[in-house]
Amino acid sequence: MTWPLTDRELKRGSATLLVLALVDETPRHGYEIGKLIETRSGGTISFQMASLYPLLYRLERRGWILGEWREAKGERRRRFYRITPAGRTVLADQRGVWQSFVRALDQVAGLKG
Amino acid sequence: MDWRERVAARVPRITGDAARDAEIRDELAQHCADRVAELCRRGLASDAATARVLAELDETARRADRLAQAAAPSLGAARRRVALLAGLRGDLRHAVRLLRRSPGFTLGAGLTLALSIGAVTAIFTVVQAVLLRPLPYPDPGRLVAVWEQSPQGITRNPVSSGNYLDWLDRASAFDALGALGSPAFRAWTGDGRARRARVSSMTASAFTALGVTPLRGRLFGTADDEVGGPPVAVVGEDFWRGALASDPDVIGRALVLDDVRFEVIGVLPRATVVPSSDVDVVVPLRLGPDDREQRRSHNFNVIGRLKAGVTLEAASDAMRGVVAGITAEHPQDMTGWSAAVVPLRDDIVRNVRPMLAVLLGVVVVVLLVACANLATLQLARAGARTAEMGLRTAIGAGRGRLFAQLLVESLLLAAVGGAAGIGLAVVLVRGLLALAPADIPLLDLVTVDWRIAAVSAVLTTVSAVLVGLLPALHASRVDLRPLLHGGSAGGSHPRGRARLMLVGVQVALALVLLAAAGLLARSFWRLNQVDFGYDPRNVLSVELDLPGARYPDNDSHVRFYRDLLDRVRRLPGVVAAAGSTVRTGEGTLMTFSFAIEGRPSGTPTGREAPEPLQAVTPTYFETMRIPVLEGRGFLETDRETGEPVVIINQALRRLHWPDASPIGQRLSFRPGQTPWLTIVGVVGDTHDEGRDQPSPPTVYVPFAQKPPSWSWMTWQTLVVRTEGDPAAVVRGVEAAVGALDADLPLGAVRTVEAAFAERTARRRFATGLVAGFALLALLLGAVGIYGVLACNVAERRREIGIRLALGARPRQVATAVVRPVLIASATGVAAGLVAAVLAGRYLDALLFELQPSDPATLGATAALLFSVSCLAAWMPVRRALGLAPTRTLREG
Repeated sequence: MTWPLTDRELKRGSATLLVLALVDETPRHGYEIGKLIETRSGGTISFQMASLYPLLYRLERRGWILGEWREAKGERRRRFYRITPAGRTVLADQRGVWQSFVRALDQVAGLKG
Repeated sequence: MDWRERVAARVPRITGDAARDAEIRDELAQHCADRVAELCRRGLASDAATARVLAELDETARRADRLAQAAAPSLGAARRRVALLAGLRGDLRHAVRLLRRSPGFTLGAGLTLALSIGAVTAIFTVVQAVLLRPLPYPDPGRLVAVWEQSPQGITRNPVSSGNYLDWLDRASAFDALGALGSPAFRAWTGDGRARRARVSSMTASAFTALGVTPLRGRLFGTADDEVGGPPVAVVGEDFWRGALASDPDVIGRALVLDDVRFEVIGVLPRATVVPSSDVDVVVPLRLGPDDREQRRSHNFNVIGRLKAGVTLEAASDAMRGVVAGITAEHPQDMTGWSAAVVPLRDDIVRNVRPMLAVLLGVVVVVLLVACANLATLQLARAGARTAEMGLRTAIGAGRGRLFAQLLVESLLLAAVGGAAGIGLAVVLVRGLLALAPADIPLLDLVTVDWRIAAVSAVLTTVSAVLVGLLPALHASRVDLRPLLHGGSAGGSHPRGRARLMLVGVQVALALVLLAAAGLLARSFWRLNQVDFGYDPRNVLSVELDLPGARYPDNDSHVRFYRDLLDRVRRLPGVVAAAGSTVRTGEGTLMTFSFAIEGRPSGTPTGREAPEPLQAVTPTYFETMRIPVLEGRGFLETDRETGEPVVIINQALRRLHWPDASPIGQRLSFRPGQTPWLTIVGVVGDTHDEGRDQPSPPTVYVPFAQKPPSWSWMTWQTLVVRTEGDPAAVVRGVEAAVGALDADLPLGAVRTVEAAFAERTARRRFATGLVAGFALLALLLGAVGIYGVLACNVAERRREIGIRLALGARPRQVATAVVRPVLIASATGVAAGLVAAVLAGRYLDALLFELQPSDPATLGATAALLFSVSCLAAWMPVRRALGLAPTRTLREG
């Protein structure tokens, strides 16, 4: 069985998982999300502004995350994103898929071995 | 400079919604500020940090369309179109790639589409031209045929001249009303070899009613209708282009028909449907004062053009009123008679309507089978592609995209199949026209035009959407995890159920078609078993008609045919030869009523109901090998001078002399005016009109004894029995005719068998086509069943392997796999039987002595279909069971 995945789909798919996972922990603003992905992946995955915000807006449009303006004391107002119940379901799904996928890759290509 | 301003300068417009754009710019500005602060914290100089972030911002600005797309659900219409087109292009490329990668599926689906669309288009083209397209005249909806209705219940009775002339004076519903005589052959001489021309007669008003414009010259005017007017004629376009070699000076040319010189005044365009497209010459139909009194002889077809706004019902009512008036004036002739107005088109196509309707129904069923088959193939493929679809869904391909992609795939397939189908249709239409029996009217109007192509395109698209939708819906709803875990979808899976249902549907539809084909084939076979009552093999039939001008009396007729037959009998290879007034394959159109001596009938005239009459030469019965059952056949001595004799057939004997022998009894056609004729023999019944027509009670008289008042009976059909191929004596017969009269053209020359093949041509055509379509349906159904099982087995290979490894017997495993499919096809067979019985009544008109619900045919069809299902199911299972368990386990 072959899966004609495009790079774009793969990246978009994984990015969705990453963003959902991060805002599931706590509401975060855009810059923080980009930064956390970069630091937690040890710099392997990074999102430029040019692709981060389209992704956030798309997830928001799908109703998986919700953006709200908040003003912390002494700081400028920022847009914070939090996960929605729909987003939580998708996140659970995606975790399952990626686990299986990674396991499958491992079985085939011996990723952990 | 504030980041907000920088952002605003670089990204002035995003979604078009000012408030939303401001928010996005705010957010981006905040991001930039955060980013610069962080870069500075990492030790970068402020200038360098700003420059780097500005570069990132520029990159974002360049790709502002992605921001816009993501942020604004309602894009500008133009942009949305661009995005959609870009997506479509991608889908199309992807679809081409995928279809190329599975050539088996592509070929199967493409062929299914092409064959079914081709068949539907071809048949629909013919149906459209014959049944649906308006007649090629101006405002054709107002054209009608007007018939008399006889007291005996004949609804399309030709009209008497007296009634037609009265209608002309009294009927107010028509703009024009015209009469046509029956076409007849006349000898065309004076232009080289003597030939026959098919000549019809029409009144000028018939042309007015039709609204025909002549190709050249003029048509008849009112003056041409006058008795004693100049002999003028209009020729058909085909006759002009063919026989007259497109003579540019055709107007004014002389045509000698039956020794009468006609002047050509015009050419009728080919698209003329009335009188009929094969008429060579039309001469004026002239009705005089004598014809006004004639109400017993019904010889004319009447056509009319309704006045604008007059409905068919109103015209019928008006005509009934007119007829009631005429009946009041002529009660002795008209009591019980009525009239009917019917659309001209319906009148022309009435005989072929049932056949074409059945064919249309059949191809629609073929299309349904094809759709079911495609859906099955698609489902099977969707099954194989579930993992792909699932993964794409999970990693972010929207359901809409997936749906669109599958739809594009289906449409691509349909486009390819549809194009091939239309190409095939063009070929099929040509084939149909070449094979179609000559008696289907309006066939010369058949062309594949853009409307048919449009219908095909719609059919294609509808089938594509139908078959594409189900699997697409299904595939986009897939739950991925079990698949990735290596699970398999079994028969209880919804997809499995849908496939089984489709199998049932296909089987049911195929059964309906097969049953129809079986019924038609069986009926055709039965028809061919019917005994003609004579031996039709090796008999040549030659039609001759003597022009009255040169052969005025019975003596000349009798002498001519006797001399001719003497010459023909001497030809090498000729066994016997005789003549009869019956045209081969047409039966006799002459009927006479007669009185039986000493047994006056209860009717006012004292005569029996009219029965068909044939005037034959002495050796007719021997030549045709019609058995003489009682008494004797005709002898050379049965001449004008001998005792007047008559021979009857068995059917007539059963009717009037069921118990006693009729030999020696006497008949007279008009006691007191014509002599009493002694019955000297009884011969066997014959089917002169074809096997599907009953053998009518018939009176045979010697041609040599026809009374002086029958001098109009100038024609004979020679029947020449030969030792070998009848074609070998054609030359000799022609020479014999030429030696006696060089100006006498030969009529139709053909073998008796060929003449009867023509009679059954329509039946054979319909049977052949339906059988072809039924086989196509059977094949498609078998492919569908095979596909379902092959796919099912492939999915369950692992399970089958485990079961076999655990010691299950192959038979048990096979049963488990095959059972649902066989149950589905058995259900399909049952449903199909019900449908076949229900649909059967449409076949009734095409069947010969067979009920549409004939149990033997239906039973055999069901058995055949079920056997094919079993075979189609067995093949993939056998293959799976043949595999070693370990291998299937490894593969699974």
